[in-house]
Parts: sequence; C-alpha cells; structure tokens
Amino acid sequence: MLSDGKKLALWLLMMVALLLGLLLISRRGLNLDTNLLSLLPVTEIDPVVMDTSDRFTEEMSARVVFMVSAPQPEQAGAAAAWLQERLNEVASFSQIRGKLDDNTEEAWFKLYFPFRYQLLSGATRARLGAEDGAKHLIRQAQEALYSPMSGLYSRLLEDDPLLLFAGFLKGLPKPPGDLKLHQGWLAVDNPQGRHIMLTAACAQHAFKRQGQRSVAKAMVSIREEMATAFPSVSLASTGVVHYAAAGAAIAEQEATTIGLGSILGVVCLFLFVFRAIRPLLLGILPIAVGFLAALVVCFLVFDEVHLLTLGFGASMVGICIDYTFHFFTHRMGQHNSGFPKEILPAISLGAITTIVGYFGLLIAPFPGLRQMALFSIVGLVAAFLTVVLAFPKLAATTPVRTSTGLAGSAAYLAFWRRLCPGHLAAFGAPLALFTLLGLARVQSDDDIRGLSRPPANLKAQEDIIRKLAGSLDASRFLLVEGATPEDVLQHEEALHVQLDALIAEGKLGFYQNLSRLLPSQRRQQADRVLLRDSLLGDNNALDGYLEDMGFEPEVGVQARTSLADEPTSFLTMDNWLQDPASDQMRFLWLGATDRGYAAMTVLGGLTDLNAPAQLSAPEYVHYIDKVTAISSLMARYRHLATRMVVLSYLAVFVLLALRYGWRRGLRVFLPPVAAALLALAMLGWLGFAVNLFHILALLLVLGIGIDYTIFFAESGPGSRTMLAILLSAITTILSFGLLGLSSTPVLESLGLTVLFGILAAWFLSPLAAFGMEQHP
Amino acid sequence: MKRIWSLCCLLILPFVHAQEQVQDVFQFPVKLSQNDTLKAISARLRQIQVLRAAFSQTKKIKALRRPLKSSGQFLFATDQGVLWQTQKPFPSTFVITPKGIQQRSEHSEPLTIAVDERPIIGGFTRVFLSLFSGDTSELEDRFKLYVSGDADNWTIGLEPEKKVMSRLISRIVMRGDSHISEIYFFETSGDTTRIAFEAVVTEEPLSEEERQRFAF
Repeated sequence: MLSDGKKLALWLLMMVALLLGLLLISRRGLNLDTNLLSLLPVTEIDPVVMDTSDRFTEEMSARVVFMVSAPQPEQAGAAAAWLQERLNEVASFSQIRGKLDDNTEEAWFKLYFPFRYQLLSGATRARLGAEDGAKHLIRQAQEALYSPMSGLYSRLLEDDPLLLFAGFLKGLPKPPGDLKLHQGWLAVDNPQGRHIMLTAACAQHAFKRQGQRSVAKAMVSIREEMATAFPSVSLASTGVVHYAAAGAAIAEQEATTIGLGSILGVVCLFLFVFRAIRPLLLGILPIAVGFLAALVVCFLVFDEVHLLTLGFGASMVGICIDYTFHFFTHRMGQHNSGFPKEILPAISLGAITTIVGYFGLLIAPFPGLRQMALFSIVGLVAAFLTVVLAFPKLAATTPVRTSTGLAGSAAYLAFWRRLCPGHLAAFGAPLALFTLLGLARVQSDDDIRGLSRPPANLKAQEDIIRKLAGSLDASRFLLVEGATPEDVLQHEEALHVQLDALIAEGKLGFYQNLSRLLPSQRRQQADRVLLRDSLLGDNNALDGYLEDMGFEPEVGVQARTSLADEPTSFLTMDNWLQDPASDQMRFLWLGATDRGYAAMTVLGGLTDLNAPAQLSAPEYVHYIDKVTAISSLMARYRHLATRMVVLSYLAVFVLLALRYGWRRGLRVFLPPVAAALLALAMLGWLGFAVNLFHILALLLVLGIGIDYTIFFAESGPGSRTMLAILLSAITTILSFGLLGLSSTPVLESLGLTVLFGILAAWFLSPLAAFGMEQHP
Repeated sequence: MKRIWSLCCLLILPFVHAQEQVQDVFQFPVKLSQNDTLKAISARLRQIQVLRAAFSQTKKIKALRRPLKSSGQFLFATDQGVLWQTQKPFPSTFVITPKGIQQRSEHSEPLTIAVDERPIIGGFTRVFLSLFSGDTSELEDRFKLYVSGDADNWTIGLEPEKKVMSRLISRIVMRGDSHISEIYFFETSGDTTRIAFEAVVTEEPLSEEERQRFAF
C-alpha cells in the first residue's frame, strides 16, 4: 500500500498531465458544436449520396433571408438598398443578393434566345407530339398576336415568328410564393405595402458558436441602425443560423443560471451541514478535477465537443460529490484523522458499477452517446482518484463537526425500520400499481422536430417570409446522379413524367430541377427534330402561317434555315453555369462526385411525404427525407440505448451477485431499477413522450441510484451513510434536476427524468440496507 | 406587281392619315383639376354601369405586311371588368378584371396571368379598366393627359409616365361622345392598334350568365 504522501504525489503528477493536456487543447482552440444532428450517426450508407446531400444541406443552412417591408415602395426600396450595402460591409455575411441589375431579363434573353428552335416547354412538346400539333402551336401564336396584349410578343416576331422563346419561358416552373421583380428587387406587393427580399450566406458555419455570435451581433446593430434611419420600415429575417444561435444562447444562458443556482445551493448545503469552509473547498476539488479531465480527454479524442455533452456532463457533479460526502459524513464527529477506510469498498464498487453502466454507450455506434459516455467515465475516474489519492493527505487534518443532519437521517432510517418488512407490501403495492399504470401510459415520440423549441419571434419572422416568398423544403429532396453532366440531365428528364403525375394527383405542389432550365443535349436535339417535322413536314404548316399573317419573306427564310439544320450548338452545362442568368439557380448543380456527377431536384408543397419514395426510380435517383430519416434513426437508437442500458445493468447485477450473493445482490439492485421505472412512469403520467434522451437520463438514474444502495450494502444502515446519500441526492437534484426547468427540450427531458428518478432512488435506497441487517 | 403595291398603299393610306390626325390632341396638355371638359367627360363615363358593343380591331405590327383585323363582341361592367370576345378570324375570349387577365380558346388551355405576376399586366389591366370607367384620376396618376374637343365630341390623349408602361406604350388616344367610340394604342415598337366600337348599348344590366363569365 502506498503512503498518503506518495498517493498525493501520484495525484499531483496526474494534475500536471491534466494541465499539459489543457494547454494542448486550448492551443488547438475549443470547438463547441451546437448542431443536434451532429450527435447522430449518419443516415445514409452511400457515401456519395451522403456527401452530396450534406453539401446541399450545408448550403441551405448557411442561407439567411431578409425581408424589408414598408407601406411605401420607395421607402422599402431605399431601406433595401441601405441593407444591401450594410450587409456587404459585415464580414459575417457573404454572397449578398439584393437588387438585380436591369440586365437580368437581357441575360435570360441572351442565354436562351439563340437556342429557341431547340428549347420547348413541356406543354408545347406534348402538343406537337399529338395530332395537328403544328396547328395548335400556330393558333397559339395567332391568338397571342391578335390579343390586346400583342405588344408583349410582337417585338421579337421577325426572329421568332412562332413565339417559341415566350413559350419556353412560360413553361418554366413558377416558384412558390408571390415574389415578383419590382424595380430590380425581388418583392411582393400587398395591402400592407412592399416587401423586398434579400438573401445572404453566413460566412462561417451556421452551427459554430463563433459564426453564430458574429451573425447575431451584426443583426442587432443592423436592426438598430435601420430603426433609426428608416423608422417606418420593418425587417424580418430567417435562417438556420438564427435558430441555432438562439438555441445555443438559451442553452448557454440556462446552463449559466441553472449552473450558478445549483452551485450556490451546493455551497449552502455544505456550509449548513459541515459548518466549515474546508470541506466545501475539498468537496469542489474532485468535481473540478473530474470535469476538467473529462473536457481535456474529450477534446483530445474528438475534434469537436458538443454543447449537450457538456450539459450531460453536469450530471458528473452528482456522482463525483458522492465520494466526498461519504468521506466527510464518515469522519463526522470522529477524532481519528485519516482516511475512513470503511468507505473505500463502497465508493470503489460505486464507481465500477457506474462505469460499467456507461460502457454500453461507449461502444454504441452513435457519436453523441460515445462522447457523453467517454466524458462521464473519464470525469468519474478522475474524481474517484482525487478522493482516493489526494484526500488522505489533503483532508487528513480537516475536522468535521457532527451535524443535526445525522439525527434526521437516523429518524428517516427508523421509519424504514418500522416499515420493514411487515408493512412493506401495504406500502409497496400502491406504488407498484402507480408505476405499472404510469408505464402503460408511456408513449414514445422520436420526431426530431420535437427536440427544438424555437423562440416565438424567430418563428413569427419565418412565417412572414414564408407567407410572402414561399419556401422550398430543404429537408426533402431528390438527388439524381449520372456518369456525365449530360447523363444527369437525361436522368432528370426521365423523372419529369412521374413528378408531373404527382402534381396532377395533388401530392406535390411544385418541383424544380436543372433539366427544366437546361434540357439535355439529347432533348434539345429531339425538340429540334420534333419542331422541324411538324412545321416543315407534309403540309408545310410554317409557310401557311407565315403567308396568312403577312410576314416578310426573309422571316420565313430565316426560320426555315434555323429549323432545317441539325442543331450545331447546344446550350451546355458550361454555358449555363457561367451565365449570369443562372445565378439564382446554380445551387441545383452539385457537381462532381466520386462516381460521376449529381444534381438536386427540389420539391415544394409535398402533401404526401411518402410519394417521392414510391417513385419507380432507378438506382441513380435518391429520395432524401432528412426529417423522417433522422426521426427513425432516433427511434432506432432509442431502442438500442434501451437494450444497452438493460444489458449493462444485467452486467452490473452479475457483479453485485458475485460480491453479495444473488439474494442480497437483488436487494441492492432492485431499488434503483424500481426508481428508474418509477421515473419512467411519472413521465407517462405527466404525458411526456419518451425519446432517446429520456433513456439516457434513466441510465444516469440507475448509475447514481446503484451507488446509494451499494453504500448501504457496504456500510450497513448507518445514519452517516443515510446522510451522505441525502446530501448526494440534494446535490444531484440541484445540479441536474434543475435542468427540468430548461426550455431546451433535450435538457428538460434529461432534467425531469433525473429529478423523478433520483427522488425515488433516494427514497427507496434504505431498502437495500435492511436486507443486510437480517443477514449480517 | 407595282400596281398591287400601290393598291396596298392606297388601302393603308387613310389609316396612316387617321393616325396622324388623332395624335393632334397631344398639342393640348391639361390637368384634371383645371379642365372642365375632362371633368364633364369623366362624369359622363362614370354614369355608365354596363356597356355592350361590337368591336373591330386593326393591329399594325411592324414585322407583318398586312394589318391584323379582328372583330367581335365587347362587354364592360364597372364592377367586373372587360369581356373581350373575338369572333373573327377565330373565336377566342379575353377576360380583363382588376385581378388579372385570362385568355380562353378552343385550341389551348385557359391562360391566366394574375395582376401581380407580371407588373406590366397589372399596369395594363388598370389602365384598360380605367379607360372605360372614366376613372380620370387613376389615369392622371400614370399618364400625362391631353384633351381636345368638347364634352359631346372629345379626344383624350395619354402619355405614360411610369416606366412599366412607357417601355411598351408611347401613347394612347381615346375618342368618344356620350361614351367611348375609339381607342388607339401606339406602342414603342412602332406597332399600333385601333379599336372601334359600334352599336353601343349602355342601358341593359348584366345578366347572371354574363356575370359568371368574368369568374376565373
């Protein structure tokens, strides 16, 4: 056995290592992640699909939309111009899109007009394919020219006598929403005035705290300046970054207030019970060391540590402090200084069982759980070693006064002694019934959307923008692959028929993809042939039309020449991507992948979420439904975590049975299990739907609860042990149960479950003690 | 060949001549508040709730050698809009309401353009409807006004001031007496449109069946 001094030296050595580690990670920079999704394993097995859909999701997450509203169009225009300039100055934003120059229409014309004899709208193509196709096309042109609106078309008549260019533009999918071009701005006019839209991208990642802070700061000053400069103008803004920032800010703020509250509570508790400063300082030591060690190891192992891992890590406080409490309550009123040897087996076994409990999570293929498990295990071991190695020397001379708490604990134990074993059934039966009925009411809800509770003002702004500008579904889309860009376009075109059918059935509102803006070369070729055959075919419909309407002969010559040739040049991907006209739509092209190329098909107004999944799609089409995929993943891991918890605790039971024999082992084992079930039943009674995070909390309840019963099993039903357990329970509830007040759903889930569970675990823990009494 | 050409010129000449005449009105700029003739015309047109007429339209499009002629039935109702039914050379219906326009014909699916979908359509429908309803104050917002003649035989000239309109239309002229009888559109492209109204009836109220035809 090492001497107390050597133990301390060993501990100090650990501290040096810890400080070195701290130095190392702080030099590397602490990356805190706030994206809930990064806790989860990937939803896609196919790496190309995963990579491309991530690329799109990332681009969408980076987007920020601004809507400038004013009663007068001029005010809105002036404010929007100011905002655009202001956004350009702020480093937090990039790719600002606001006023379109007057050349946009011209750009479209320049890009598409030269190819008018090989670009057909879907409707025109269908009509030309049918009987009398040419007649329909011609009649349409005539109607347009005879109509009161002919001025819109007649300008290009000499170069485009059949108005094919106008027909192609008319066939382009209309995005949802009411955005129109007003004086170069994308805007909506309604009775409330003019609403102008601007978009930007976050310069930094939307889920990184640093980027969020700079965006939030910029938004505050922009709003202030705008309110002064344009008092009648209102600004709405939405984007993933706003939600992420708000969520993280709330979580941080709550962690701070709840954290401070719990620390204050613990300090008061220490002072009240031990009436001295030194026990308090010593009590904080294992917690601080445990937390730091966990932090250092996690940052060394993982590149980024999730905010929730730290939140979960708060539970450490509840476990680490157990060891200290035992140390002090067993020293209470005893004059012999030194380490109370009788607690060593208790706290060792407590630490081992908790670690075994977490072990299941550590090996689960779930990044978030692994992080939390590693954090907890490391923290626990460090705290345990601090008590065992450092306390013998550091706390050797710390006197501990007897507390009135001891008397109270003795009274509580006496209550249980009277209850056991005769009245136990009378007392236990209703509790069991309560638990069973509650368990029967437990429902699960794995919907990922339930995990965020966005602030009302952000939601209101999003609604304003969504109502005016419409929105694309960024979480449900189709990915189409191909060996070459041309291949991708052809594959998309093959899909159009099915998607159009979905629209006709009312299952889909709208879709947009590249091939509608940039038909494949094969289709351009086919459209040219179709046009030529129907217009220059047997009855030469073109000549009849040109003659009827009185076109100059040159118009006919030009049209016939354009039609007769095979197309020699095509609108190509390179043309399109480099043209200013494609600016707003370029995001549809995902570019090269490991096995070819890929593009997006965005969907809107999906009423049947399963419809796209049922498309008879070859292997190059992938339907990505993030929300459903993640929610079902959450469900899968809820089940997995439940199994892991059960298995881990069966292992713990084996451990207990080995030490105590199976009957006593069961007595030690059952109270925390009953407490966990009771907590679950409470959730059922209160109508909380259970998700993965509740299961994680149950794991904690088991881990802490089993410590309580082990302490009793090891030390007997003494009032010192009871007091230690009481203090530990209060601390845990202060530090962790308070999270139940959080407005972040995940923290609330964890907190409430732990609150109920620890109350029950503490309440039931003496059960383990009285088993021991009968079989000393 | 030469003879045919001169024949064409002869046929077109009166038309061109008429156009020059109608544009004389642009020598007389007015302000609505200061002009009694304009006020009187406006008051008169405002009294008309429903106007039915036969129209004939002559469109001269630069790219075409011959003017496009069409004719049909015209119906205007203050609370609904304009129903423009072309009968010759082929049947098609054009509905213009404050909400937008719709084109219906046997050869294509109805084409609807809402007012706010394209600003030019919004401007067009507002102008078109205020021409017939005599809403001169709405017109004055968008055009420079010119008037000649008196309340019983008048000519009003309009020159767009808003960019949306002026990009397409350079001038509009309307002529009439107790009601509108003729409209000319002069487009910036050089195209011109003349619409003449005959057999004008203003008393009969709108039938239910007619009312339904405005709906889209």
